[in-house]
This record gives sequence, C-alpha cells and structure tokens, in this order.
Amino acid sequence: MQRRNFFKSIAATGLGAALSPVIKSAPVYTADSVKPKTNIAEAMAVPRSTLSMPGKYPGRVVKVNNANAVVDGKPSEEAAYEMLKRCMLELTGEHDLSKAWLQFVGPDDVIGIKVNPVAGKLLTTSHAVTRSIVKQLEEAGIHRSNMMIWDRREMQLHETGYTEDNYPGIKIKGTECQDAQGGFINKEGKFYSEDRIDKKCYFFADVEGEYDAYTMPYMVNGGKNSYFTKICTEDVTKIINVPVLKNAGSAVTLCLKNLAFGAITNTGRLHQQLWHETCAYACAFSPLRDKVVLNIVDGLIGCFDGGPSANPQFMCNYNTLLVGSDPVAVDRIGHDIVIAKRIEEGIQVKDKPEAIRFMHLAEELKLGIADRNNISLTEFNV
Amino acid sequence: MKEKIGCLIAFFLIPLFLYAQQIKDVEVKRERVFTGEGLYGYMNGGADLYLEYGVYKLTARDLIYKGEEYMLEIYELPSPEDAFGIYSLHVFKCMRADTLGCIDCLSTYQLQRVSGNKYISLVFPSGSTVARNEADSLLRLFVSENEEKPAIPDILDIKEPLSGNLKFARGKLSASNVQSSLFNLLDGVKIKALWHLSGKATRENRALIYPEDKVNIKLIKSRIPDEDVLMTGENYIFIKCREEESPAQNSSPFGF
Repeated sequence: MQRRNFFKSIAATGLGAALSPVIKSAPVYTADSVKPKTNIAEAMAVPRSTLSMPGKYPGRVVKVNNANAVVDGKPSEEAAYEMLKRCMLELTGEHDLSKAWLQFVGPDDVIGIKVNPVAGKLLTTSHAVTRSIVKQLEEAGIHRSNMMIWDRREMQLHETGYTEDNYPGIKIKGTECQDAQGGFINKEGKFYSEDRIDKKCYFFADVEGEYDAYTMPYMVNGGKNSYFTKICTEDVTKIINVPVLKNAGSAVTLCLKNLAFGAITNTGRLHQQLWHETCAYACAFSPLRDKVVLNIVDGLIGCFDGGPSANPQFMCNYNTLLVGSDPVAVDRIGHDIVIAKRIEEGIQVKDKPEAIRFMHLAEELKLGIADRNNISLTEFNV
Repeated sequence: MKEKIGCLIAFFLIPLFLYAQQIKDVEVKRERVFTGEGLYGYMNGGADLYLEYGVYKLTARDLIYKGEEYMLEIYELPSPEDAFGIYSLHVFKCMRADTLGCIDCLSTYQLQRVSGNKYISLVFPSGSTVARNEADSLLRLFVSENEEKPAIPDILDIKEPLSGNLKFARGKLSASNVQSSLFNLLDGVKIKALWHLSGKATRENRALIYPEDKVNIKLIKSRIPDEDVLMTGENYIFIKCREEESPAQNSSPFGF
C-alpha cells in the first residue's frame, strides 16, 4: 500500500484532521465479494452475561429535541442536562434520576465514558453533554475517581479539551499516546501505546496491515490482529458510549463505529473491505459486548456530509439527543435522522439499504435490533 | 522519507510569528507553514486533492482576535483558477456569498474567500455571532483586496453568484468531487481543466472539459450520448453532465 493510501485511513491530531476535505471517491462496493476470514466465531463462543448488548432495553430508543440546545453556536450545558434527564427517566421508567442511572451503573463500577474527539474541536462530543453525564453520575453517588473519559487517541482528547484540568478528579486516557515532547517511543524503543493494549484479546481478520514509520504510531501494530485496548479489557467495568451524530459517506458513524474503531488497534487495514464487519464484529467481543451499558448520541451539533471529520460547511444543529442501551437500535434511529438531512440538503436522493448492513450484521450477532419496525422510539420536544 | 519528515518537523519548529504579530488586535497562538507534500503532515489523505490543484504553500495560524478563537489557513496556488477550484469544492450553502465584488462564502463556522491565487479559509469554532461578525475584518488584515480574478470562459455564460454554482477541477480526483459520475466518465482520460456549472435552475448540470488532446476529446465523446454533447472545439468539449447515484457509498475513506 502506498503512503498516500495509508494517510487516507489514519487520523492525525490537529486541525488537519478536522478540516479534511470531502472525498467522494469512496471505496469500491464489495458486498458480493468473498470477505476475508475473521475470528468472530471465537468471540461468539464466549458466553454472554446479563449485561451483554443490547442491555436492559433492547430495541428501545428515546429521542429528545430542544430548539435551544445550541445557543449562539455553543451547546448549552443547562439544556443538555435537562435533555439527558428526560431521556434517562423515559428510558428507565423511573421518576428519580439517580435511580435511573443506578439501573446501569453502581458505586463500585469504574465507568469509562467513550467520547469521540476525532474531528477536533469543531465536532467533538460536546462538553455540555459529557459534563451532564458526569454531573448526573455524581448525583447518583458515583465518585469522580471511578470515572474515566477515554478514546483511542489521547492527543485528540487533550486537543478537544478533555484534560484533567477541565475534568478534575477524572482520569483522561487514550490508547495511543505521546510523551511531553511529542514522542511515541519509550527508552526501550517501544511505543508507549504498546503497554496499553491487551495482546490476549484481539480481532483477527485476514487482511495485512502494513504501515510506514509515520503511520505506525497511530496504528500501534501491523499484521492481521487488531488488539483491544486495556482501557476496555482491564481499566473499566462499565462503558457509557457517547458518539456524535455524524455521517460516514451515506452511512452513519454512531454507536457501533465509535466503539469498534475506538477500541482496537491496526484499523487502517479494515476500512476498504471490512468496514461494516468491523463495526459489528468488534462489538461482539466481550470487552465491549459485556461492558457497554448505555449509548448517548450527542446530536446537539452534528454533520450530514464530510463525516467523520468536520467540514464546517456540512455541520448543523440537530438539537437532539438519542439514548438507549441497545447500540444497534440507537444507530438505526440516528441513521434516519442523518439520511433525512442529507436528502433535504440534496446530498443524496434516497436512502441506500446497503448503508445499514453493519446494523444487520450486529443484529445477527444478537447485539441489538436493526429492523426499524421492531424498534420502539419515544420522542419528546422540550 | 526521513528527510521529508525532518523537513516537516523543521517547519513545525520554526517560529514564523514576526509578520502576524505585527497585526493589531491579533494574537497568534500557533503558526505553521507547509510546502509541497509537507501538506500530508497537516491533513493526511485530504492533501491529495489540494496537491492536484498544485497547492505549493499553506500557512496555518491559530489566532485570537477580539477575544474570539479563529483558525486561518491560506493556501497558495499556481493561478486564480486553481484557487477558485479548491474553494469551489469547499462551498456548500452560504449565508452570504460573493459580496462587494469578492468571491466569498460565509457559513455558520467558516468564512472562505478566493483572493488572487490564494484560497483562504477562516474557521471560528465557537460559531458565535460575534466571531462571525468579526471574520471579515480579521480577514482584511491578512489578505489584499483587488487581486486578480479567475478567468471564467464566456461559453459558460454564468451570472453571479459564482459561489455554489460554479466549480473548477484540475484532475480526476477533483472532478469526481465536483460530481461523482465524472469519476467514471474521465477514467483513463487526461484533462487539463474542467468547469462545472450546477443546474439548480435548469435541473441539468453542465461540464466544460479541456482534455489534453483531441484523442481524449474523442474518448469522452464516445462515452456519452450524442444529445449530451452541447459543443466541441479545438481543445474543449461542453457536455450535459448527468448524475447517477452510486448504489452504496457507505464509508468514508477518511477512516479511523
């Protein structure tokens, strides 16, 4: 693979990542071709737990809209708090907000809040939503020392304001990391990130990852294995997944994508042939399947084209939050919102069935409900 | 490769604040310059598109102006047409377009402009009204007025505003960004330039293509129905440009 092609499938920190132009020459459609082998059978052989996806409320999604969610370009923390509260109470049927949260987490849990800072400052998981989650967890009796805000790339967390200064008492951690001088390699000549991956837990796919020296720190390893981050396998006991409402071509990058591509290494090799499979399969591995208890899609500000990076021309205020324990059902509802916007804006003419293939794969793996007819959506305007 | 990365790092480290620091009310938080393929260090795969237009220098600055945060990028290109070309691919819907004789586009988070052979993007992450209102005055501090305009062929017979209606491509990658069906039409065709006129009014897009030679004009002609050829000349072919949606454009190549 050529250097330029690698660059197309890696993220970098900084503005460049945020403002990458829209490239519409998307990968070749390969649905009918023979897919490379994977170790998904090994993942499925691990017994499910009572916590396994789709969690407590399969096929149930709550959507709340608030026309004042974004005030003069900035997501309102006050509005986000109320929107989240409404969603949590409605989803759980509780009247008490703390009780609602305690259906999913407890004081002994270490809770990993998986944000999505990959598009940079312009289109990260908003601090309004993240702070609302933290606040409501605290009100439910969860100590800040039992919370971690995490993503794949620590550098991007810092760049988008996810720092310990801004979130005192909460650990901020990424799998891929640098030292204070910006170096990726320790004194032993190893990537710092290598200590943060779990070589016992991996997604195998028969596609070789080959990267040059520039790219490798962002992939951590090449070869045919994508290792899970220790953040998922060791550090946290529960995960709250907080993606941003964004498109990826004529598909969406929401709950499943945020988890799958955010929790494993060596992903550059997976985009061309196994994008849909990876979104579904990686979530079927125990560290994700059995720990993700809640999905909160931040749709205060999102995008309808140019995603997953942030092209300012295609950003919009959806003014919405989606909440559910079932990541597949939440993705399905989010898909409808994004595609409706794309059609309204003239980006595409109609929905494309192939765009939700990863959701159907996830449903086959019993991770949630993809069939819209079987999803219960409750919608409010506040 | 190591040399390239070395050069790149050198650019990161060279403080180039002298010019910008002299500008009143502007605080430069960070300034970086990228030349040629150094652009890959800034935007990864996205650089392919810019390099197709011939971007030879990018100056990127993180600024504070009147208390608001801005990110200013100035791309220098071989010609005003190239600058217009990369601009035209980044314009979608403008709150305000082509004002006071400029080619520009204001949106919620960004002011873009073509100034001579420069494409300029000014992003204000806050999206606030204050930031948006100050964007013009900030831009005036960095770009000169009355620069040369792109030379637009008369055959297009376009009326203003240009922004959002007219696009310009230099190669296959930019052409496919202009309209995805052009990717197949131009497969194996060598072109020098392509102007694309949106058919918002007529519901019919048109493309004025300048292939490298007559052989390539014939190749294009052979791929479209006769009724779609509006005009041909010594060095161009003017066609109706039909869009066919691909069955599945499911994932972005800019992936993680």
